[in-house]
Amino acid sequence: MVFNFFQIAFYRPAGGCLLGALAVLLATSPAARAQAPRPDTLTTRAHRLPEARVRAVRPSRFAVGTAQWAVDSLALSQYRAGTVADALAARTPAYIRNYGPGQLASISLRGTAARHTAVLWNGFNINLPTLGEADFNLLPLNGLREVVVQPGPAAALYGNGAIGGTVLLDTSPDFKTSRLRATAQGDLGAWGQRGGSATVQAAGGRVAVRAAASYRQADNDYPYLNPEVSGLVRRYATNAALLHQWSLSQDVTLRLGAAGELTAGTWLTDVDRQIQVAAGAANDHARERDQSRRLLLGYRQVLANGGQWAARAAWFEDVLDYNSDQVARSNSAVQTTQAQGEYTRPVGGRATLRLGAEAQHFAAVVDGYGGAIGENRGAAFALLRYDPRASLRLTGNLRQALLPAGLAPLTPTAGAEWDIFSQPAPTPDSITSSPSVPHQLTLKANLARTYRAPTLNERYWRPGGNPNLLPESGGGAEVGLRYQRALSRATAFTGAVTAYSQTVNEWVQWLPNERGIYTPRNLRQVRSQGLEAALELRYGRGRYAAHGRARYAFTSTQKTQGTPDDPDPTGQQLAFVPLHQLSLSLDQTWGSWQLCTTLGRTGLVYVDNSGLGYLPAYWPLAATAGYTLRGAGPLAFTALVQGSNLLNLSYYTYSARPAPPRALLVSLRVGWR
Amino acid sequence: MKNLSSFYLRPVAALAAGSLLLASCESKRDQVAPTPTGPGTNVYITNEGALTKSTASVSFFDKTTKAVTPDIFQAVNKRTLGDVVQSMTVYNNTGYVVVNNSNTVEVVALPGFTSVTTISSVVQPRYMVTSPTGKGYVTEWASATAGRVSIIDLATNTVTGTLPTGRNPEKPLCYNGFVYVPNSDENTLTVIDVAQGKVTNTLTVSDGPSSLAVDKNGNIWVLCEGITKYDPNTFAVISSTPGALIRFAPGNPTAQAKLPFTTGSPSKLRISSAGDQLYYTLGKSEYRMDVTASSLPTTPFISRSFSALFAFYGFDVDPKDNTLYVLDASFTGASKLIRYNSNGTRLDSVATNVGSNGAVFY
Repeated sequence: MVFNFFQIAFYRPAGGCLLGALAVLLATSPAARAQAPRPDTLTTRAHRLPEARVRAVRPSRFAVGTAQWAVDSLALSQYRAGTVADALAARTPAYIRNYGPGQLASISLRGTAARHTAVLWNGFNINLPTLGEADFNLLPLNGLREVVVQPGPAAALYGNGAIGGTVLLDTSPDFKTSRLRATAQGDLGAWGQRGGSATVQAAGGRVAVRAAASYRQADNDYPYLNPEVSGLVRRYATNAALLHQWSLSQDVTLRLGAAGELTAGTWLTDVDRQIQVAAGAANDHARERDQSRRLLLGYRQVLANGGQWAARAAWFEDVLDYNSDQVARSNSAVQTTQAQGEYTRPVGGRATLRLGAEAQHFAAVVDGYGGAIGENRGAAFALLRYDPRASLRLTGNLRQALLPAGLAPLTPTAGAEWDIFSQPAPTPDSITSSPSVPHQLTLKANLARTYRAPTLNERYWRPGGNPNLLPESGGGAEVGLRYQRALSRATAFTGAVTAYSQTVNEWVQWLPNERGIYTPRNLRQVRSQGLEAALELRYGRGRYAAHGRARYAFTSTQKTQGTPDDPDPTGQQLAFVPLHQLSLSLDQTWGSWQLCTTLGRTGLVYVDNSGLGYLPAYWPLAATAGYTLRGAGPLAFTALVQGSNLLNLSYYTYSARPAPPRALLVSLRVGWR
Repeated sequence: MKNLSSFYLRPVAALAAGSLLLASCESKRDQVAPTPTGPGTNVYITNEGALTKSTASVSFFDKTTKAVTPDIFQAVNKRTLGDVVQSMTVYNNTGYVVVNNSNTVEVVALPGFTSVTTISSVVQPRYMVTSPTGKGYVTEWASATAGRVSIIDLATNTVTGTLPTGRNPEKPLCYNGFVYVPNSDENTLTVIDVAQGKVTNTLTVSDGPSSLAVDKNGNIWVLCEGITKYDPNTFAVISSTPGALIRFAPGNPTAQAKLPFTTGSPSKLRISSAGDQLYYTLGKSEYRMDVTASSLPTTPFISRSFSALFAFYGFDVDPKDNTLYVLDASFTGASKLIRYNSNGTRLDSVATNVGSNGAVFY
């Protein structure tokens, strides 16, 4: 349903022309992209670029009144040897439960569980259908154009599981890149990390292509200090090797005639890893193989009335094979076949309406299900964006999903943004990174209901699967202020603050039943209340440019009600939800030099829902220094040195999972143009 | 630009500085080490914690003040016990905490719980029993094909030898110079002669022996849980045999009285201090049976209204006054200790820690 694949948007300039080129300016500007959410309708372009066509309407157009944390391409380029988990942990206040380098890394947004975050790749949900969540260490960053986190409930827009928030991954090709561009990179790091990656992108005439491949492996036999009877004893991470991890993604967009656009994409990932032994636990020699094959095909047609329709289909296969000394074999393979169709059209010059539907079919062969199972789900949605005037933007969205057990809760969303004051921009004479307004204060509000369908494991696992499990449902409200100020063409300041309250009902937990068999049940209501703040400063002078960000999240999450069977107490901060989460980053470039620094603070988390045990807060400091050598020809050579845990602190990223000490990663990149 | 940086960096700096103060808002709840008084008033609750998170613990319950220290080992020794505390055994003034998935036995001085040493050559240890001669016998699942017992010299806290047992040896009993080891994945007891330090006999009982007790008449009771086997891939039940309560005299162990269960899987055989009343858990109920009874009781002694907690995940009898310690376990938060007097009247209830499975008295 999410069509950010095209990285484009409708645009209606003040002159009354219904269609135009919008996103070019924004797409050229990482700065503007990093700001959330951007005021599409305020962006004006005096002329059109040759490739400008009727753009696909990005779903974010209907996400009015919400916050976004974007990780832009410069930031992403530092983590090319890493995964989405690395980027989110360093660059956003999302809490990543990281079991270790390359190990399971799941997300918690606004105090919710990992299954409460929808992860979309070019608009398709890639959470494992068995578990209903994603392991972000299985998602290499290389090849991703953009990573955006939209915290908060948004099922009307993003579908199943968008309760705590949504992570949007984009690999779409880009028509801006008119010539062939390619890079190749090799990485060598501590604890036996070695890897490499390559990217190619090109666009010409009617075709745009993008391809990326990466490989890495690591021994991860790093030392840590373990408190034992004789004092602190040096131990080594055991059974923690990343045996291999490769990823291949390819995306092609083909323009057919004046009004048609065909896209095809693949993303293949394959990870073979040992599962790290908990500090203090016996080695059970666990090993896991994860393979995902994702294909998508889409067609978009622009209509004479200014509207457009799109149809897309995707096929995923997710394999997860696990074995250990205790579990001889637990294999699973799920094939997801899905289709989406939508029709978008302008309404009366000030509004955009989208109507759509989607269907999914899951075919799973999972050891724990005792055989093959199939499940179908469907949904229909209507999205409306209405801008009564340029300074007031409204959305009203609605989705109704149909699940095997019946209708899911109806999930409407209402959003508004009002520019309390806005000093208009001087007429832009170039498409440089100057923000569109020098001075603007915007009030935002969003009200949403949301849901999560029971996962396949929750329904079919034997023993214990509960076919009568209700979907989790929830709702929330948020209010925010965003202030932007451009001080010069290269200097700008943005500040944003959001307060929210949201609830998850029918919260699912696996608990033993009367026969002692674990079964998932709808047990409780959980409420999160919090505050998110972001400050961003961009400064440039001569060859020097700096971009600093501070993002902070205060998250108070407690069980508010439970069934009599629910053993957890109310009024207690939930396990693995930090009250305070902070991420600071400063990216600086000076001519051919770059220095990117991140400092986070992950707050104290309890390890159980009674607040008995805890993991202390920690401060990971990391930096990347780089130098690019450009010769006369098209080649450029970049050397990068990346240091992690620079303060060499001892801390735990998860229960009994000590973090690696200070470590270095050296990368050499060759770029063609 | 100077003006800019001073104006716009100020909030950034303020945020950074403010974050330094965040720690003060986060409640750490560090536990204060208790100061237990002499023997007779102390109860140690073993807590499994969450598997592979190394959050196992022992809670301390002071019978006099009713106060609970959720994790006395952590509070005293500033480190965690490890992964999954299965059981604890007291010998004189020393506690032996068997940490199953850490492959260790933590040795602590009682009542304060100060760490003495760590015995680390055991494999999947489960329970320990001591002999009056100063030996400890730790049952270990060791491997899928055979279990074993490690013999520990309690004076030096070192393993002095191992003996083979059947599969999945559970909670043993030491009586009259013999250690009886129930092999829970078989239908046998391995009998160890303490004086000779070797296996002298293997007795056949019923399927799934897991716990034993000796009564006032010197008879040994064996609670057999039955064995249910699952298909390793589909988890469908392949076979299931019923449980049984078996009684024999140590001098004539083949002459056994057998009380069969028709349904369910009974567990945790305990006995009153006088050796006249047996207790066992079946489903969400605790049953009490006189040692002279000729059939199993038909009505429960205590029933817990079923909750999402593991009802009766632990059950023990205080030998001092026969107070019953019922543990309803939670694996996401604090478990519950509910105490009953010997008549089955509920006394009180306190929160313990994650995954409580047993109570040990000192």
